[in-house]
Amino acid sequence: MSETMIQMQNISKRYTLSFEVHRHALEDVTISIHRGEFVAVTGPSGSGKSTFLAIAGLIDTPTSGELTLAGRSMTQADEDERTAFRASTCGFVFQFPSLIPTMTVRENILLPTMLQAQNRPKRWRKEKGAADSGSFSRTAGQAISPDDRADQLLDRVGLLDKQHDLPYRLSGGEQRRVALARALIHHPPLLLADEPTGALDPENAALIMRLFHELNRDGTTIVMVTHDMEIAGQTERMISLKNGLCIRD
Amino acid sequence: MRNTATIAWRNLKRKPARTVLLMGSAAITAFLLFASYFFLHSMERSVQASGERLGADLYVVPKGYGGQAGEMTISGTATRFYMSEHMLEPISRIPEVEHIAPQLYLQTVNTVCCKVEGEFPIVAFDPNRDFTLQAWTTLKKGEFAPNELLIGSEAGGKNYLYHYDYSTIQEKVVLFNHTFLVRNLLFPTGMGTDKTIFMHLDTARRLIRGERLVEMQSEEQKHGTVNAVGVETPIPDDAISILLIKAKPGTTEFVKRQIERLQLPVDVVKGTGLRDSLKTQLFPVKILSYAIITMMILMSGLQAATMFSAIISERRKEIGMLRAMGASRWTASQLLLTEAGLAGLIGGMVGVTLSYAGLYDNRVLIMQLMKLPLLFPDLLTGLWLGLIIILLTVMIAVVAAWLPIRSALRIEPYEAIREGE
Repeated sequence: MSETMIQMQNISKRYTLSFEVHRHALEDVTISIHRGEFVAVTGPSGSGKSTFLAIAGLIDTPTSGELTLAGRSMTQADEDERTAFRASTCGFVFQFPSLIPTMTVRENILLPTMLQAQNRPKRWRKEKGAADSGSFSRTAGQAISPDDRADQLLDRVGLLDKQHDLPYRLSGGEQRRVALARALIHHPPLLLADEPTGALDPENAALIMRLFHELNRDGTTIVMVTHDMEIAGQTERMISLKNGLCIRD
Repeated sequence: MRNTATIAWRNLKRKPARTVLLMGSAAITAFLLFASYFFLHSMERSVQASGERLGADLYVVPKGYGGQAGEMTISGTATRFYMSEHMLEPISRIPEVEHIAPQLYLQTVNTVCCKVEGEFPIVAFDPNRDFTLQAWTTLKKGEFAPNELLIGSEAGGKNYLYHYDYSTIQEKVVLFNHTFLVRNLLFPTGMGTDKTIFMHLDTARRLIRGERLVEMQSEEQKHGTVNAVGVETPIPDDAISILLIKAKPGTTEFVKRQIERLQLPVDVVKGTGLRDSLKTQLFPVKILSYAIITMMILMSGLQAATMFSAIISERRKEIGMLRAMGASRWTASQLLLTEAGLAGLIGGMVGVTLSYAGLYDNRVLIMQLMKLPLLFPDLLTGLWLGLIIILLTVMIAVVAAWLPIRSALRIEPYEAIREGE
């Protein structure tokens, strides 16, 4: 059996809307996602898909339950550990690319490496070391410099000729590809994508999916949230959520 | 660090209107801080100068003239009483005497000073010992030559103050058949001394001895075409009219008794206590001014905090994204604080420069309007003051930004992204 990348045990997430009003985004969800899997998380709006992704990527904390990532329990992890883990293991593609408008395509792609280099050195090194020991960080290909990696990714997403353009000159599909390249700059073994093809024309959506399949073939674990069943059907595993409950796996 | 500054700078450029507002706010803060401190500093110097000129702790005059001592220094009237300069020596040996300055009142002359005709009391002073006039002029110790004069602010007319900070005023005054150069003028005090002309004590002595000061004679005098005034006689050769004494703090009474114990033919009169009285009266004003400056800093900080609160709220999604990309709270806050610091730095530099340039360029006008001697700090002090105020402006911006940034960083990145949407 392959190693587990994401292990959720009875995960619940409750948002407090007002003093007495709470909303359950996730309720008692137990799921395992193995290394190298390509998983689609589907469900209607408000079903808890994005919350699921946020908890899996350590950008939100569950209200209860056990979370294990890359064999390491993250339930009690402090903010520094979570940051170090995100920096070494996770890549995020959000529904809106949110590129920095004053930075060129290339600079946007390199932004995570710059941010991670700025993180508090002493503690970060310690935590990163701890995080790396438990993660699936790949060593192959990581010897190359961030600049070479950016060249590689620009070539892969077909934007090498636009690397010095500012984001406003790019189409929506191109911006989405820049966001994907940015998510991959630090060789994350886990890619988390929230509606990556949402609002894209079929051609661009197909291009994104082709890139995802290539990455998955290279060993990247991909968890993709989508409400498009046709897109979800292109993955090897589909998890369906409704009202915060896992109704199909 | 360079990358952080680059990103911060680009973010500032991204929203020019917002950046101009931020920098404008910082610039106004720096401008007001610099100007306030400057006026306060000038006021303090002015009070100190008033005290030193008019508030000598003790006056020593010839026996029998004690009643006229205080009036003399305030009115500048030339009085005809003299004592020997030898009185200075034993008194100056009293350890509690901090400063001792002799003055000699020559006479009141009718002459033309700086194209203004009038009656001018002539007083001689020792520039090496003086502590009463120094604070009222831009002249430095040792710069006053024997053929030069210091004049009261109105001796050259009401508007002569415009020449206040000229290093040399190119005006000649004929006194006692000799031509003197007006070196500098004193800041107005509103008293009789404003019309007094001050000359070097050594020069006065030479004139009294009847020496012809050839080097000071103009061509016109040499050829006898100028009707100048002569020194009235007799004034004793080593005469002085008064000794002004500044005692060490709290020792005035003790020094007075020490002088009396020397049994010299003199009267010792305590000063009017003007310096202490001015200090006491101005203390509440000073406290109020500092309180206003503190309130201004607080107000500016609150204003900046309000602005940053709106800015950070608008950028919560960006903050969440940065953290999702692996930026720690420290890195994200560093990026945003650098933006705030840069805005404060540039705004502060603009404010201090405008304040300094504006005050410096209009100093005489301000002096005329406010009757306040704006004693500008020297370049190095000005630079330090400017730097400190710029640093303070940066600190205000950073602290003001820190509060909303801290609040934005406390929530989970996903929550920040959702709130931003």
